[in-house]
Amino acid sequence: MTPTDPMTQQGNVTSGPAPAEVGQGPAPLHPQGRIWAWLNRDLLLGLGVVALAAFFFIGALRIRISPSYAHIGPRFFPFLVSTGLGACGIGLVAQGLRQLKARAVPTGGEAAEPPINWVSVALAATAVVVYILLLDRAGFIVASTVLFSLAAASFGARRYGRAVLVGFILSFTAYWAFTQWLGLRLPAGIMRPILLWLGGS
Amino acid sequence: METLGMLLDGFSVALTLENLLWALVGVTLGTIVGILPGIGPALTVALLLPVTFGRDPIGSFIMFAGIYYGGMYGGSTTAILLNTPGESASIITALEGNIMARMGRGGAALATAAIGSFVAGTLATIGLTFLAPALVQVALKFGPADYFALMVLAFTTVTSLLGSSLLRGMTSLFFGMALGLVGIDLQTGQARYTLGMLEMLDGIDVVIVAIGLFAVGEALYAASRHGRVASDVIPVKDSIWMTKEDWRRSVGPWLRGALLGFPMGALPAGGAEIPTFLSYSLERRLSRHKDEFGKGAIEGVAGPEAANNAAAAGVLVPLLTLGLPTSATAAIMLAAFQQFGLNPGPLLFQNRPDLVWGLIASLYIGNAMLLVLNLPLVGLWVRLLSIPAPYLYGGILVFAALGTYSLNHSWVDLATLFLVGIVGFIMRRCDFPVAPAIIGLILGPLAEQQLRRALAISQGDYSVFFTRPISATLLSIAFVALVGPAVARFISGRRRRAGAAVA
Repeated sequence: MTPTDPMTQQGNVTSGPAPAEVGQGPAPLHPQGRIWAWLNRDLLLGLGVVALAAFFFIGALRIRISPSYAHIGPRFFPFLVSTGLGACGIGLVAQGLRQLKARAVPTGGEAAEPPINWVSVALAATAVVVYILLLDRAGFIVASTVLFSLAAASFGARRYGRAVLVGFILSFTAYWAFTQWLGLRLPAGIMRPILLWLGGS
Repeated sequence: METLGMLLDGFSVALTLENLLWALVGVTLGTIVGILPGIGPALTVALLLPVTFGRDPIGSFIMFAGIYYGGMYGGSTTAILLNTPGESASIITALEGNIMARMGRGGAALATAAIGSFVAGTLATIGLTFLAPALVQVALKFGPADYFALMVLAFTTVTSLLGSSLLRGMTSLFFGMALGLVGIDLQTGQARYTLGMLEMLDGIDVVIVAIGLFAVGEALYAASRHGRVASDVIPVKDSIWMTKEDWRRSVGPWLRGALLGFPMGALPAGGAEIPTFLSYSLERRLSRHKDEFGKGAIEGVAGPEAANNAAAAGVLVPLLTLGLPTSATAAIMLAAFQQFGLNPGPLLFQNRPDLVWGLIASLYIGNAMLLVLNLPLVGLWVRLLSIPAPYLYGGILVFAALGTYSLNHSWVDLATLFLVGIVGFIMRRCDFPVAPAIIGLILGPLAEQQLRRALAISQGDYSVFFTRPISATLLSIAFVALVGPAVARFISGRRRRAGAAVA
């Protein structure tokens, strides 16, 4: 492989079973990846699923039923579903406990998965949250440009100026196409004067 | 004969300039999203739903069908040249096809995949044309109890056949069904799980969940692997025209793949993965070049690609005749029908023959378009793979947010999108299949309706599900599908242990 522009470089090639570690980008390997395996994935997931099932089960108890309705009412199916979900959660917990007892390596894709790049995930997630906060205040074009640029940065884009420019062009085009030709309404926000001047809305 | 007449009427609908244009837009978009990693036909249809709202349903569905078929074609290109299958049905293609590409036979692999997809897609569409009207006659006899049993069957087969573990599939399914509970109960008007929010009364939109799981979840997942794993595109060096030898070795796998794929797709079992696995092992057994398997055997690309396209067409049979989606894309298509106030099933064939048959006719046209679009122009599509990952995922997130916001112009939807995205990331990372959740979300409320209707008719007597022959049969099959694999594993495990003890 020839050295590539960091823009296009997505990392190294994994040819063998071991994930290649790449010393590129703002993402050094984090030891947290190991914590996942240590805490046992299935046990944690199972507990989460049980909690969710409990939420839906208790919620089902609070659904009001009218005494005049003779047949199975609005509670029946929620009970069915939450019981099923709970059973799945207990199954996962049991599986996790068995793995802990056997000190087994987690099954499934985890063994083959490289450790999570938390920096990138956090940045990408932040991008979405910032978008939600900005959309109504600053308008679609600004919010989308920020979302695009932050997401691009989380994937290792280094030429920030270019990422912002590409994001802006994409967002502007999308806004124009969707509002002018497809008849959708999108918030113009602080771009309104410019859009009006251009003959848009 | 009646069917042929209907099909001809369908062609008169599909061949209008406007609908041809929709088909072209659909297959082009489908090819693009099939090729681009991280985005697939289910997500694309979900994103386009708000745009088609209030427009002509025929054109919209012709476009959606084009996206669906096009995604299958495009997925094979990515699998062959990038070794990261664009969608799960292309996993097997990636196996042999990528090795072929590495050996400088990428062109032949792309050609056998494209022509095989065309052959199998057309054969399967013929199958759909004749099977659908017959199945509609059967479906007319279905009562609420039978529909409920059918949905139970779909739930069990989808979860036991998709993904690596039954438990994970079931968890995903029940999670989807739980999300489906949110909102107003249609029969009694009671609010359920709305947490006091007005926005939740309409329930959680399947479109938002699909976008959240497929776009946001996928982007976060890709971000989590950023800098850890990577892939490079293998350039196509050889001609995309196959040699005589290639043709000779491809024709058999194409036909067998179509024969395997269509019925398996048409069964409520659904999914396009299983037939590709079956086709691969069948071709390996039949091939005179067994030694080449694992080293770039063309049969190993031709068969599974044919099977996956045939299965994709097969999935449309239960969707159109019973309203039963068995894949993520089919689930979104059902959501599209609901958006237009249409209910797939026997009544749709009666009330909107123009739509149903126009759609089926467009599949023939779309397949032909895809062959033309994919073979000579493959070099153009391959260049899509050079879009840098940062821009690709940035763009996916922008359109995901745009598609979600344009549904109701509500920030609650965007917050839901974000939360579902986080869940999608966890599911993807921890090996939970996503499709059962989406199928559970859209089928759950329908299953509840049929269940309550059936019990209302029977005055609360649960035995209806076992006394009605159709329902009893379907439930028994569901039971076998659920327990069968576990029993088979248990028996083969015992046999192996017994064999080990003897040895």
